Amino acid sequence: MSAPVVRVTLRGLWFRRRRLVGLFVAVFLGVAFLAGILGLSATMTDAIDTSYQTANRGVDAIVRSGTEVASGADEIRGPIPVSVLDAVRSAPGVADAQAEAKGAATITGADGKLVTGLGPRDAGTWIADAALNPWRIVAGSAPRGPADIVIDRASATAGHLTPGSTTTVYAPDPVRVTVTGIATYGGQDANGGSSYVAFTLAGAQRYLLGDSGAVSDIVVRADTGVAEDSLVAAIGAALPDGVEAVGGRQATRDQIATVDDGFLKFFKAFLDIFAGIALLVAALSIHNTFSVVAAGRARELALLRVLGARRSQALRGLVLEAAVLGLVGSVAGVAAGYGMAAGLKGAFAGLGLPLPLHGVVFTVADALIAVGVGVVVTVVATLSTAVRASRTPPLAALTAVAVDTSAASRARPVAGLAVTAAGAAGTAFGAAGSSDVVTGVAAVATLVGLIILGPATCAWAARAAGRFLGGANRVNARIAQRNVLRSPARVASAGAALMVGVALVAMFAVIGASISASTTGTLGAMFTGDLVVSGGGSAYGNSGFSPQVATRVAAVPGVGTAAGVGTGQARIAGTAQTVTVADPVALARAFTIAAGAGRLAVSRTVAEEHGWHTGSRVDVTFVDGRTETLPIGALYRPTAPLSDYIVPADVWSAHNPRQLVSAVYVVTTPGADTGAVRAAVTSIAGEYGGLAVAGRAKFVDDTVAGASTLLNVVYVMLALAVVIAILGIANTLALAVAERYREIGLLRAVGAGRAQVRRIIQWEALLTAALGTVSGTVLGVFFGWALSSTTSNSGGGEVFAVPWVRIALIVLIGALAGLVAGSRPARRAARLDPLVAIASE
Amino acid sequence: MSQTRPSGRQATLVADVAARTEAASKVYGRGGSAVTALDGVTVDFPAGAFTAVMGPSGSGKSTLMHCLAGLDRTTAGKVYLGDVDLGTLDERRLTALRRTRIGFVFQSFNLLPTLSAAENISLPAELAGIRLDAARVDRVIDAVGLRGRSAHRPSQLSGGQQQRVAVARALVTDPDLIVADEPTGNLDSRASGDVLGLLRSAVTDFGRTVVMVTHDPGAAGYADRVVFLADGRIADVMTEPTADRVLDAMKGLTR
Repeated sequence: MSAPVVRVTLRGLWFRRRRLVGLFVAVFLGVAFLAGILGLSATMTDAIDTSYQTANRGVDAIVRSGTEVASGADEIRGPIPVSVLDAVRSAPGVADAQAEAKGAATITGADGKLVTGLGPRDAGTWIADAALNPWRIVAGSAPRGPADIVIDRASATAGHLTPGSTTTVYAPDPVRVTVTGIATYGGQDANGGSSYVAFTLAGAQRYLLGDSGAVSDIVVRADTGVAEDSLVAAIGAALPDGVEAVGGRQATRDQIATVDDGFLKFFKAFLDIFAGIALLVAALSIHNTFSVVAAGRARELALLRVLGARRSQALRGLVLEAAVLGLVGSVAGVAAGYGMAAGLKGAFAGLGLPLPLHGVVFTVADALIAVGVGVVVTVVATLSTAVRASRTPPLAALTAVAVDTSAASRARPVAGLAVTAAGAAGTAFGAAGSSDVVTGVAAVATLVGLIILGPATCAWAARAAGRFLGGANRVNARIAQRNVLRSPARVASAGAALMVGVALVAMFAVIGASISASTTGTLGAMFTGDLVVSGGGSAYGNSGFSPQVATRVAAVPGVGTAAGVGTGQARIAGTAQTVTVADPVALARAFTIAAGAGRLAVSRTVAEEHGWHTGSRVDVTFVDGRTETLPIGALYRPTAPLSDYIVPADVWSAHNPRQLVSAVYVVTTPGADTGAVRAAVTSIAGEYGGLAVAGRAKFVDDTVAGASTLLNVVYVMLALAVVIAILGIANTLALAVAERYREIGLLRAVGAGRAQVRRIIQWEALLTAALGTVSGTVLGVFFGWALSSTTSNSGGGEVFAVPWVRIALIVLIGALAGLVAGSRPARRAARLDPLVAIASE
Repeated sequence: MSQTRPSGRQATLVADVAARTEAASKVYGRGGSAVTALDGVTVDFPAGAFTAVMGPSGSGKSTLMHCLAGLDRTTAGKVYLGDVDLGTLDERRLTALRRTRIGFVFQSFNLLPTLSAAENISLPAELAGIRLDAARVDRVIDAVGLRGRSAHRPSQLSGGQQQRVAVARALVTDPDLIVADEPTGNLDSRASGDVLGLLRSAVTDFGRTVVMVTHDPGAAGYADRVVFLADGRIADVMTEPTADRVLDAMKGLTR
């Protein structure tokens, strides 16, 4: 690039730095959000990698059940016979092999309250061989008897437990234990956010597996110099059918890969969507600011052309300017990304979705990606303006500055209308035909169409507003309205950024309300019981509780039925599925689902997917590797907290002897003293670590609220996009005020007070924000309708509900945000000395 | 330029003073870099008269006009509009005074580009919350010869027509004082004649008081009196000016 272009550009940038602040802020916020999200993802990946690597550090091979019914973080396999241990120990190349029994156990602290946390309540076996045990005792000693345990230091600290303390663990049945030791995991107080209880092998087998003849797996240490492959082969030759051996490092890679492909992939995609939205809104904002700044420089560009700059030189200068701004904003954004990642982590925790992470990991690669994306977005967003501005004829230097003519294009409104109409029609068609792909693509087309149509909509809306604005503010409002009309493209572009943000917020509000209404309606109609006993714990901590609770509640006088319902993993029709485990007869009394003994119940959604109906026979593979073919006895409308499959408890327990329950649904007998029943049930619940007991209404409400947690996360993630949009409006107005110094001075000279000038600018801000908010809300409600219809037509049973209060609140907040956006430019305009304005020739 | 002026010279004889300054001084900046724009100016602007203010660049004539119109404040001395001491008014009162008692015509950029001619004319009244009756606006539009153009935007009017709209705006609220800052500076001679004729008739036919800053001796020829400023002081006052006499006087002032 030629030196003069670079020099003129960089000088100009410094000279105009105040006008470019808004652009910088848009790039900065967009990139900071992206960097924060990349940092959060990297932190998650790192935490998971570290956890698995620590777990298998000294393990050369693992012997385990060959059947896997669930993968990823929830990998579940059935137990193997303890007799395998001797065969493994005698295999060539094996230095040591230790069996472990694993499960879940919740610890009670010294104060009698459960120690809760961010992750699973893990329990396992204390292994004497230090190479095979990732835990190290830092206080006390290893367990000796079946009632001795070692716990993680984080739980010990939280529960005020020390070596020698006696307490109760729910494993899941209450066990009185003595804490003999406190341990750390790879130098950390705990393994991520999960707690840990280690028994002796005999204790773990008794409490966690309920079977002294079984173990969960066997970990193996090889003799020095034995390769992983040959070790695995040697052990494998000695194993019975249904049991497999894998290399330790291979297992670590597999575990990390399954988490990366499963939960992490979903989580990162979820986060990336919001980074994309924030960047899109930032791009709209950048585009607008740059076009306003470029319009104000038409004369300067023309002068450069008069002095001999080629059109391509002018263009290069403009692109360079955008690139430099993008770079500066992005580098600053990346620097702020670390704080953003920490803030996001805090926001997730505040919304009930805690991420068990220590610190924040930030890689150089992520920083480079964020900077690269920031620069590219800035250059792309400004390219059309740069091309247009570079075409400024040299003559413009000598004549009046050309006005913004983008609203004058005849083709634009026609094209916009066509795209919008086609998009809206496609969205409705997709919704009716339950095709989510058609709905999604058409919805994006509608949005694009509305942005193309923007200037025309804006002009129309401003004229309509002009007719309604009467009363005492008449002249202020009219001047503001005319200001909007003078460059509708600019106002539309500022409003469009807000429209995108608001449309998404409104869409999620509608979807949330529809899901809530649907859950309330469906669950309210399906659940016929009176009380519900549940773990009530955090999203991760609730590992289920003892089936004894159901048995004991059933014995309470006045209780007709106590249906203990659990959650498990099985392969159904070949794929791993989460299933609900319940006795069909008992369940039929608490829910309107009557499958009949020995039969499956399946939600209508999956039944439709597979073409199943009542009487269809379905293969179910259990955790022990055996498969049974079960007939479908009932179809039901899907609803939380039930999963899509309900498997009969008696069939299930033949393969899973230690199934826990996650809820007990209680139906009282007619005429029972409900108060007394409730008191008795609450008393039993108290003996199992304080389980929650809810009445029918509260149960429905809690279930609905649980479904809304993710929605609140979505709102937080969208908040930044809305903030960027509001800053964009503030920035556009500030530039407009700077452009109109003389007009404002004239107004002041002919008698406009400071308050009146302020109100004129505020009106303009309000009109801009109202345009974005109202169109965004209408669009969002439409999208919300389309999406909930799409799911309902595909058997989801969703109802369409508009949360009017929330929608009204969104519009109100949008309008207020407009006033906030306008307040600074308005104050600046009001402060303007009329004389300075007149004199600025 | 025309030497024949409409009658109305008797206006100078009226004893009432529309505006006056008493030892008005204005200093910009401080210390060594201080610039004295007005240096103890005491001058009366009789009501119902057309006064031109002339002087070389930097003589303080624009500063005098800005102070007179309540757009700027003196650093010493007093400025009165009627019997109101502008120095005692706060920002809000000064603004209110501007929109009700003073009319403005500037050299250029007199009109809001987004408002029509008629809307520009009624702007000060509307800012004051006063509803002008349409007939009155029409009369003023007729008086400045813009009937049929009241719905036009400034960009659709010629420079001369725009200045006539500005004069109409200055007239419509019946102000005590009309202040014109080089109103013909950007116009050709024919359009200048139209605008000066309108200001003249504002005094003669409507009894308004006009103070006009100008460089053009021909424009000063339309006035009843000419006040000459040099170095921030009153250098001369001429009654019954003609373009030639003004030109001579100006030559004497130029250093």
